[in-house]
Amino acid sequence: MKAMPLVLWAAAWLVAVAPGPLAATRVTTAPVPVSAPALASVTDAAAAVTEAAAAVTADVAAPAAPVVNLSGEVVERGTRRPLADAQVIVADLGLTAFTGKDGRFEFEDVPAGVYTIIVPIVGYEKFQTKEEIKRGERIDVRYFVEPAAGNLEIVVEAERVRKEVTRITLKREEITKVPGTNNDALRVVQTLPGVTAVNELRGDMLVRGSGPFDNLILIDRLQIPFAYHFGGLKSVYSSEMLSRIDFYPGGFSAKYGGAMGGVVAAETRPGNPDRYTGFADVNLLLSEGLVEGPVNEKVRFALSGRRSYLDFLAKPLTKALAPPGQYDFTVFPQFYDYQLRADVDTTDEHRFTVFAFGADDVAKLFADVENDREPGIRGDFYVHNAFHNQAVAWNYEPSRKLRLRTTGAYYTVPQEAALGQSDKLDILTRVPVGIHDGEWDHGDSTLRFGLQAFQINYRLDTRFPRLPQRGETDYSFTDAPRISTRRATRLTNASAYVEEIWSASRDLKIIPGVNAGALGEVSSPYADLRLASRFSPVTQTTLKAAVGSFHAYPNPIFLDRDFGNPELLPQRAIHYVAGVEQRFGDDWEASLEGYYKDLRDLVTSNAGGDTPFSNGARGYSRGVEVYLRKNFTRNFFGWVTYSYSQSRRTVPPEATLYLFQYDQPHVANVIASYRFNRAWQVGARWHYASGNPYTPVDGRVYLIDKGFFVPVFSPQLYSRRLPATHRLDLRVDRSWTFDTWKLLLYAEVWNAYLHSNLLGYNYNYDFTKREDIYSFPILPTLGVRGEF
Amino acid sequence: MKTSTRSRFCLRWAFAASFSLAALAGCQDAKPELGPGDVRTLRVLAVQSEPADPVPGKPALLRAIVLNPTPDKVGLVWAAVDPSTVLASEGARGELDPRALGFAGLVTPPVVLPAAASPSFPFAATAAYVPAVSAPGEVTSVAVVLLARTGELDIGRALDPERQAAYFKQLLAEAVPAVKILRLNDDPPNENPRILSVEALRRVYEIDETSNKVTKGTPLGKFDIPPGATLEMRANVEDESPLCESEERKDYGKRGTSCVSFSWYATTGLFHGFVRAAEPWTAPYEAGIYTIVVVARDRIGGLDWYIQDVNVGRSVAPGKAGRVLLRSVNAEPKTTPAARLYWLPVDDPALMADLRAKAGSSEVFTAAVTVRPDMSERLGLTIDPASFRLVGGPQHTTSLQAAAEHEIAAEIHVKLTIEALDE
Repeated sequence: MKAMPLVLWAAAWLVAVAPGPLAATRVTTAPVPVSAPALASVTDAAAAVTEAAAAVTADVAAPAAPVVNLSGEVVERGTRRPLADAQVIVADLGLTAFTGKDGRFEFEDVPAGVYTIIVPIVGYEKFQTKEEIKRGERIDVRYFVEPAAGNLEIVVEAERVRKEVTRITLKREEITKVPGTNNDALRVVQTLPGVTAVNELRGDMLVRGSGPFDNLILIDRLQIPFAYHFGGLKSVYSSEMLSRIDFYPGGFSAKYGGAMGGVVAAETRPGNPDRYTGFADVNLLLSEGLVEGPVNEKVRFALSGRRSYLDFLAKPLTKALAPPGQYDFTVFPQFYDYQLRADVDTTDEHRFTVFAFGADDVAKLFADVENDREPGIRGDFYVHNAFHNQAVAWNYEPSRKLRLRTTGAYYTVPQEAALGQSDKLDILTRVPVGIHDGEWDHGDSTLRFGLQAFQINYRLDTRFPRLPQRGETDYSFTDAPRISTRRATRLTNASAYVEEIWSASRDLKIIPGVNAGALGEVSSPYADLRLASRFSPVTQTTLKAAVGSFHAYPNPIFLDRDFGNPELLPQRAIHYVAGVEQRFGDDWEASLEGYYKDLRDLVTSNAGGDTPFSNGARGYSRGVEVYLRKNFTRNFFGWVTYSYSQSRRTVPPEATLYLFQYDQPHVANVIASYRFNRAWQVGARWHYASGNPYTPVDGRVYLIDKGFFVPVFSPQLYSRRLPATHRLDLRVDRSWTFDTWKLLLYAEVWNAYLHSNLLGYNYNYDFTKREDIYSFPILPTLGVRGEF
Repeated sequence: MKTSTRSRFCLRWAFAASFSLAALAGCQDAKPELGPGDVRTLRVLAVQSEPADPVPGKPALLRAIVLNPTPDKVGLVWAAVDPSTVLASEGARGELDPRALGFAGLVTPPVVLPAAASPSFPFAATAAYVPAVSAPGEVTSVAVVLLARTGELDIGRALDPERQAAYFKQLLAEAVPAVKILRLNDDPPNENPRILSVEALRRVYEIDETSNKVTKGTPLGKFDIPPGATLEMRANVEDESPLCESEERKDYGKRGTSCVSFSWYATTGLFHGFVRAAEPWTAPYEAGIYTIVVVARDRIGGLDWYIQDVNVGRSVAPGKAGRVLLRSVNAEPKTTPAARLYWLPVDDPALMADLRAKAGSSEVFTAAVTVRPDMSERLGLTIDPASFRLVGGPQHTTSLQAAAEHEIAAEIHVKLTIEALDE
């Protein structure tokens, strides 16, 4: 009887060492020699195996059809991610099995008894447990293996070849963990070089001295109608759905038309192909949820949604702060947004992706206040801004060298504003969009090409005052002539681009491109020529330069015949960019970059005249940026930026250059986030920005017919500057990992050292006194999140 | 309900910027302060043109009402200028020249008005004719500028054609220009609204000390109120345009929309609102006859004003022997079993008289007192030592300090324990 186990042991050993891959779920009834790398981490197991060879006393059945009596699954603790190719050892018997792709393993004919099971995996804590095998019974187990400290869930991507003169890529971990941004992707972009915000509270981005509306924000190539809920509260797209953000501050590719500031191109991520996962997040501002998973082998999805609580929380707060009866929010500002992505992999060549995303902001306020300047502003205020987008993208790769992507989308954008019973501004815009992009690799070079067309169909139903003109200090909403119209208008935009990424040599890339477009019969067509080059004379050192022309059509409302000027031309800019990038190993990189932007035909509000807007302004911006970054790898990421810029504008009809109203010469950011272990992560962000310029009030005039004072501003426009703002934001994440889910508690403190950041001034009724308006002295936030 | 300039700006911004939370956060400070109706310095209140829209070739009569709380003389200069220059906010005012439109310099010779005879009636009025105007070129509107400045004027310089423009600019820098736009031959011509009357809206309350019940009090004179009391007044106007507070406006095409709004002015006391037809005014603590001015504007150039006297006197709130009597105007007093709340000012004779009537007894009084900047020095209560002994107090809350520093109105509670002495 004692000879039998030895025979079996020898037979199994022969099977195990036989050439060819070892089947992941191969059943062994004898120990298998472990490979050298694994051996190092299973010292205890090896010892146990040696001991076990002599210690087995269980009965072994006569040779017959093998029966599986111990099976199970090895998954990562917290995420339930199946761990493939993991070794499972029955230590007392010296039996070993390896898990398959689905994390499952099986043992056959394990003798009855109590055994020590060991699962040693590199990068994970050693897993050890006891299992009792009874005769004639089969047990199925599930082992949750704890990742070792420092072993983060990192999707290692190959560094994409940089084809643009400047591109900064943010990964998901960076997007969601930068302090002071509250998991907001666009706020994270504002910490990059060349970028700042209008002020501490407004979310609009300013890129290299351009205006807040000069940028292009794309999600999977699709533009979002507005980027922030209520102008700055929170960006409208959940960061959790994003896999990556590419930011191009200037001199960008011909692929991107219709923008003269910067481009933020975000990419969403497909749903989890293996299993259903998701999370629920509750914080002081909103609740957020996400669920993702496979529908079948070819279809997977990810769905997320968010809903604010402002309407629940702030109403009692407002009641406490506002004098009784003056403000009554019938609908307190509230918002929601949603994002859906579904991927269908039909064949290797064809892949379809369905998108649906949207956002909705609504607020209704009854204000029973007296206003000497605007006695007509009282009663109901109602604002509703929303957009809903449905899109399908077809990726077709007929060969390894040719990649085509066609996207069809349809936007519905309702915008409503109402004041009292008589003034309203309803705009319903519907926009069908078609985008085609292609890339063709030929030799070492790549040709990129594409075209885009969309049609803006908007229906106006308004009775609303005309907009104030520049310098019209006696403008009054109450008295301004009303524009009453009810009509539909259509604008058609078409554009195309071609770009060659020419590898002139191994070290030199030259990228010429052209982007041309037209906006129906309304505005004149344009053609932008762009040229960029990257030269790497030394390993890890790249010199780069770009020059190009950029056009952007004004917002459609500026082109409206009643509210705007249909004769407006596209605004244009010429970017000149030069710089150097230096990498230090895989993790560190630094860059130094300078730019000059010549700005022409800028749309400006007219001072008098028949039309409210004209292309009368021009200007420039120039600056230098320094950037040092530690990429996110294991435990630490961070970056340091410093941007110096000068931005100037003219005010027609004068040719004198004034400071741009958002000129912030010095902007600096220091970001650092460190993960101590799987439980704790801390981060800090320090931000500094010069104050915005403003025009001082020199005097005042009393308007007898209106009954109020108006200011007389200094002829030196923007000749004063607010004090610089700076603040420190802190973030702490604490997580607990359970078998099937994870719990995360996070806290952020905005402006931790309580610096008083001045936003501007408010003047009293006759402009003889002014008071400071400060940003929040400190703003703590707290959230809890469960992931499964 | 008074809204600070900050709140008003915020409202506009909040509307334009889709009610961002930031705007709402910035709007949460409606601290009362001196508003447009609380005039403490020389100010031009209104200028009326008759007809409201002058006809070229025919003269127009301009009437002005100027409020001068100072003890000084007032110099007035009328001029007609190009509207685009006087309203320019970006430096174009340097080109402002009273002769630019072809007028013969100033509209009328400068006027020096004597100082007001009484601080309680600090109004000065002046009138001028706009000379017959044939609109030169394409001029469709004229800005009439009234500069009011305390002190003497250099009449000779003002009338000298060679030195007039320079003098005008100098005055422009010294005084706040009040500007009225005259639309020439507008069609259809606008007409000035008319204020038919101003009425007092009052409810008088009394508290019975024994029952603690609030009862309707004996009516006082029409515009008679105790010191510190609040009186609501309403202007009745005749005009085609609806009131702005009705949320409707009359459309005048390119000229804009029209609705009638009001401005209430006084040199003392405190207005709690200033744009509606009916607004409350809190009287000062000094007895006297005070003048209130209300201006009605149709916001497209037409206006009218009405002057109303209000009698603020000690005799209007007598105490009654044998019981404590509170008389309050418009604000219903509240009482509690533990302590009586007195809404009269602390130096009001009613409180003194009633305490005297309760000789020999001791009682704790809690008075809710509205304290304004000009009252801050009065916080030490006046107690007649011959009749009363101050047992405890005065005590007040810390809001008092804030009230004094920030010059805002605040309600504080003064708790007194007063023992009446045997006579």
